[in-house]
Amino acid sequence: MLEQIKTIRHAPDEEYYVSGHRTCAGCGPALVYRLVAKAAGPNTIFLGPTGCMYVANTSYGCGPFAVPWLHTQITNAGGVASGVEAAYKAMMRKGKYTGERPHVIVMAGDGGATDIGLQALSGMLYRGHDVLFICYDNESYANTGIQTSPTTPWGAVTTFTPSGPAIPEGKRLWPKDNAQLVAHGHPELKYLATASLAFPLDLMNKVRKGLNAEGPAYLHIQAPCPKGWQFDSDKTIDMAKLAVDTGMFQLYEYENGKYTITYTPRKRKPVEEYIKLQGRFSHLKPEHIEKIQQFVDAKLKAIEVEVTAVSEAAPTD
Amino acid sequence: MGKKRLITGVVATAEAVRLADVDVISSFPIRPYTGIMSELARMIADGELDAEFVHAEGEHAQLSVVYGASAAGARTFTGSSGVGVTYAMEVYSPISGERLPVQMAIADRTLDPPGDFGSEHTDAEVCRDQGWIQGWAATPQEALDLTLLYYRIGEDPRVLLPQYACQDGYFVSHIAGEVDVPDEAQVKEFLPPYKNKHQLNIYEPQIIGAQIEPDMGPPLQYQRALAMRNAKEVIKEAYDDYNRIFGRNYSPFVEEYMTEDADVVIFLQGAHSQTAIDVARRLRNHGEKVGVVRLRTFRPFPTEEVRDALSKFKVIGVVDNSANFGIAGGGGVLLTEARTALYGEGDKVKTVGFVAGLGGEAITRDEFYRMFAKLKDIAKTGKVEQNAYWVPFEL
Amino acid sequence: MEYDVQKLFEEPGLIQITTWARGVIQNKDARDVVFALANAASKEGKYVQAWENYVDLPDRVNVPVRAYARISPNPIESKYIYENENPDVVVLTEEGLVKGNNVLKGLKPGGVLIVNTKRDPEYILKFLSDTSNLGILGCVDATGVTGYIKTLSGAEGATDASGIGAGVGAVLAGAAAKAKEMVKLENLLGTVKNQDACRYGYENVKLMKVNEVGEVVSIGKIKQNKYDLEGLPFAGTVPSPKKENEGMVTGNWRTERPILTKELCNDCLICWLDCPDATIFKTEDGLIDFDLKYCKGCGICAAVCPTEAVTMVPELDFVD
Repeated sequence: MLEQIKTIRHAPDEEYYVSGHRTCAGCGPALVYRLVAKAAGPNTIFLGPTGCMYVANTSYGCGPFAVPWLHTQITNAGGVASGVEAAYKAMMRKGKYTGERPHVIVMAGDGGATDIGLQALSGMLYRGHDVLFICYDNESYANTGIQTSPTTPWGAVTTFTPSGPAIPEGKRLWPKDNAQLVAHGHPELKYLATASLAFPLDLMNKVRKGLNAEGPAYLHIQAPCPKGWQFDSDKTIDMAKLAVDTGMFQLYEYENGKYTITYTPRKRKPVEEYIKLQGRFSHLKPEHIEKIQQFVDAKLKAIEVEVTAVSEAAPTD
Repeated sequence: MGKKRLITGVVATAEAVRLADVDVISSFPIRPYTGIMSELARMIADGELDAEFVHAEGEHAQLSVVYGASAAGARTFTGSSGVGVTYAMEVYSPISGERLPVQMAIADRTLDPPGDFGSEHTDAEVCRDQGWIQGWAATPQEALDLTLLYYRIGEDPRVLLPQYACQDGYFVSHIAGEVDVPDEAQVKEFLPPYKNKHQLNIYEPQIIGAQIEPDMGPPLQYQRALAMRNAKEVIKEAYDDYNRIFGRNYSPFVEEYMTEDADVVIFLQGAHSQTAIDVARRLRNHGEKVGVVRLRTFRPFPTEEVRDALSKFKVIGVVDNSANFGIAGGGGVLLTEARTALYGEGDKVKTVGFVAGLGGEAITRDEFYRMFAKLKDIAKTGKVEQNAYWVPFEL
Repeated sequence: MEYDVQKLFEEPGLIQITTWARGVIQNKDARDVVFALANAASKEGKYVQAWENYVDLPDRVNVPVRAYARISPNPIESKYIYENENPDVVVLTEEGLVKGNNVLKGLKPGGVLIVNTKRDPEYILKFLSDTSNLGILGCVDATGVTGYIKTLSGAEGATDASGIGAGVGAVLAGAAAKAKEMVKLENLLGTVKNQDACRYGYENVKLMKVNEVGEVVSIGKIKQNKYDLEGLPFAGTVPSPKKENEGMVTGNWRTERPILTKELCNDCLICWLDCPDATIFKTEDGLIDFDLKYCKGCGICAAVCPTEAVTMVPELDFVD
């Protein structure tokens, strides 16, 4: 069992996602990877479906993974993870492998988890494989140069949803909520949570809970992307914090059929404070921003987070 | 010693999988290969086989599961037919590129349309250049033997490539015949446990499948090409051992029937070779100098062996049981590849193609008879009027 | 058959222009330099090409990336050699690129280097290693005139809806046209959006003669692929690194360097946990320090520091 990390001083010093990778300066997903690897420890196998965290990490025939790592297609991480897990189960039962049973972790982007890889994820969860499937959600197909994905917010500009005179708002669809989709309808799922880079210890502890669960677990982690969202590379953590403080991203756990909200902003900020800092939203007009506000309000109401958005500065904690 | 049983190709294949002590199996139903998986599921339920049986959500997932399982160090098995084979297309190259000796049984089925259950080699042949060992079994006995042979060949450290063990759907997969099912001791002597240095192991961590710069592209592809070349030697060794241990008499690449003094032969692979041999024998009874050459290993294509076998004859009819629309020569893959093997033999060897048995329709004895008749005509006139004939429409 | 391949593949009159930039944030300006110059040359009836180096793509924030142009009086024969092997002109969209990047690699004798900086050529020269082929070094404060244009438009070979040469790229193209005779200013002005910026670059670039170079006698080596097949990893699989991945050293990505004011540090370790590159380590005195071999200079450590103990300082202020 992996213990919960109480304070930053209890976080392990050891790195299993080491220095030396070609991710963006200020890359949110890279920080997610580092924290996940730190929390999971040496007894881990990573599966890396195609996406930024494959291409940028393993550029040029090398990589920063101090634990075993295998590439999978963007389509099939859930399937490959099922195979790895099933292999260890069989080999241990048959005495063909006598070492420790490794943790199996998938690190999929939003494409590999919520779009082209969703079928494989669902299959893996349905079959009950003991795998932690993590979606680092940077809200676009970023590796290919920022194209819309199902989690790209309404109104965001990507190279497939540019804003122009005929389509002023850019993206015209509301994002898919993969955590909700996954949570309901997979009876073998043992643990599900959302996490944010604004709360790194919470993130690491959710990773550990997911690994401790005997059966499949799913973590959906928002990972701000300086390239795609178009903010300065030092603002990654600020963006993550603003996302949860505005309600654009919500933090909770789902276990044994019950939701637990793990963070509620004391005073919710208007979404505009989040939106105005990102180049991908710079074309939006007040009425567009209002539409997003309404969407977020309704969403929070649905999960019973009754905090009204107010524009004064909330305390930082 | 083995035991004689009356079983179908699907059961024979499953028996071989059991004997190979496979660890992870991934399934998805599609006719006609499905029976292999039903049989394996039964064996697991009855305690005859200890393996993880993963109900994949499609063929793409089936191949993904065995990719992961093989990378983790397990011996793996999967299979499919028809459009199921092509649905998994994305995963074939990663499996061979990461050098994972996964085995896939293909019981051939026509691609859609016409949504026909019948056999055609098209499904397996479209995957032919993905870096997999490939060949066809023509009987249930051969289906069993090919499975064991391919684990041995594919897992050899000089090869480390996945394998498509093909059998004609329905004809081989569903018509029961007498099969000698070997015992565990024989199999143990023939097939060592699977070991691959190249695997996911927390005690020796490795990065498998990293991105590369363009200049690493040529040498990595070359490595795979060399593995395919090396496979030929390993195939020979494996067949020698197999024949010795199990008392078979297989030739690893090309088999000849009634060719000693033949002037015309039919060249083909798979189940329909059995009908062609029968027709040739009947014509022989009337003094016709005809024979059959059967290809046993399709990938790596045994270029030299095919050349040596075929260059002895005046006229060769190449039968393709596949639809290759718009292909050079208008026949099928086997025709173009046989002609490539014969490159340099000049005009003394004439070749003509026959596309036959599509949609799962049997190639009838009458059709083979007409093919032989056409070959005789060509031998007599010395003229090839048409590169290839769609049978029966053009013959 | 035996030929001297160096001679066999000569292309007389071919001018190669290479721009170095920081990925994502300056990528468009790099592209604008080469597209502006190529478009201007095209107006003069020259044969031209312009493109981004696909080895550098997909680009990442701060990663050094290259864009290229070729201008020739004759049809370009080497059009699918995807890197400029022997540039006549090298342009840097940001001064820090002189550190840790071999920007003068393959430079033709007498070649030109243009740097976007407010510093003097003499200072920049300190950071350049082999300058034996460098003819002229030009410095121009492009960022002082206009900004970088940050847009995703025009990436991956698509049309750039924001137009060419609206920002820093226009200034640098102007400076390059001044330093090396290749296109007329009026034609260059006719291709860029921000003509004032372009003219500023042409008129205000500080040029310094580095070497007197006579007639160009030879160019660099033609690329020949050679492989050590024995030493090649099996199927591209490599052992996992233990402490660092030395195959991807990223210290040369920095435009700014984090500096710790020890007196202000309260040892909260927030920066340590928030660094995406694991380049902050705990020191024996109970504080933290930076691993500059890999630090990309993203600035998260400074942004999250509750006591303002970390500040970001221009990389070129440091000679190490």
